[in-house]
Amino acid sequence: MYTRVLEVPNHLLIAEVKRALQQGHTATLRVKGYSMRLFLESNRDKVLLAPIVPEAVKVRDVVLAEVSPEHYVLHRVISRRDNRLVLMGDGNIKGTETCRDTDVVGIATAFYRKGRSKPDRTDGLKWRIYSQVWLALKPFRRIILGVYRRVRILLGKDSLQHPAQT
Amino acid sequence: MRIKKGFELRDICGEKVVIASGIENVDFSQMIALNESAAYLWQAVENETFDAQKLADLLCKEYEVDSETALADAEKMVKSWQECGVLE
Repeated sequence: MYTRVLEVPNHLLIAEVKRALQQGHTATLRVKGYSMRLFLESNRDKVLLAPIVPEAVKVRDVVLAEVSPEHYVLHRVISRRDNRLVLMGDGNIKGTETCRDTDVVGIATAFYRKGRSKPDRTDGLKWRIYSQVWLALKPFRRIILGVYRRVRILLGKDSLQHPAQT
Repeated sequence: MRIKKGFELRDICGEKVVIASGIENVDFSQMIALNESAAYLWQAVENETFDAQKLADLLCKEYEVDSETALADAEKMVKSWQECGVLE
């Protein structure tokens, strides 16, 4: 007899998330990967997702989207032309994904950071200022992320092994 | 003790999983997997108060197990559910 915390393969978990969102619920998911730094940290933070109609997805939104079959990312929309979206993780220096607006599973409406129960909402001032500043600093992203990582290594929060860019 | 309101046993990817599921939000950030006997106990006491002895009795009824082993297993189960924060 046992009870354990479950790790589900991403594409299977997201199928469940999708179902919950389609039924009109919101869904809370733990963030995995480092591609949404500086704001979001792998395994530390959670994201609150809400359903969204494809046409309503706009630039700057953070969305969970299926960018290739059974491959999902939680990234920011950096451009939209008709129904074609280009996504890029805040913590990525280069590398974008493209998909259709119908590939969007849900939109991030809030983040629970550092184990706090009070969320940072994406319509809140903090997130909007962060987004504004972080996107403006895009040319310096490599340097900032490099310094950030080195500080985290010094603090013992990151391992020396380079984190996967997902 | 009893199972807290808002925790729901679901079938996810063929696994019996306990998940915090409110009217609005479904929390996938912490999922607790139950094996067959744990899921059986969960379903049996989902809406009532219970103690380890009651779980042990349920185990004896369903499985071929002596009462001593059943009680030890039931106590382990209660402890692990408590650690997961699903009991009140």
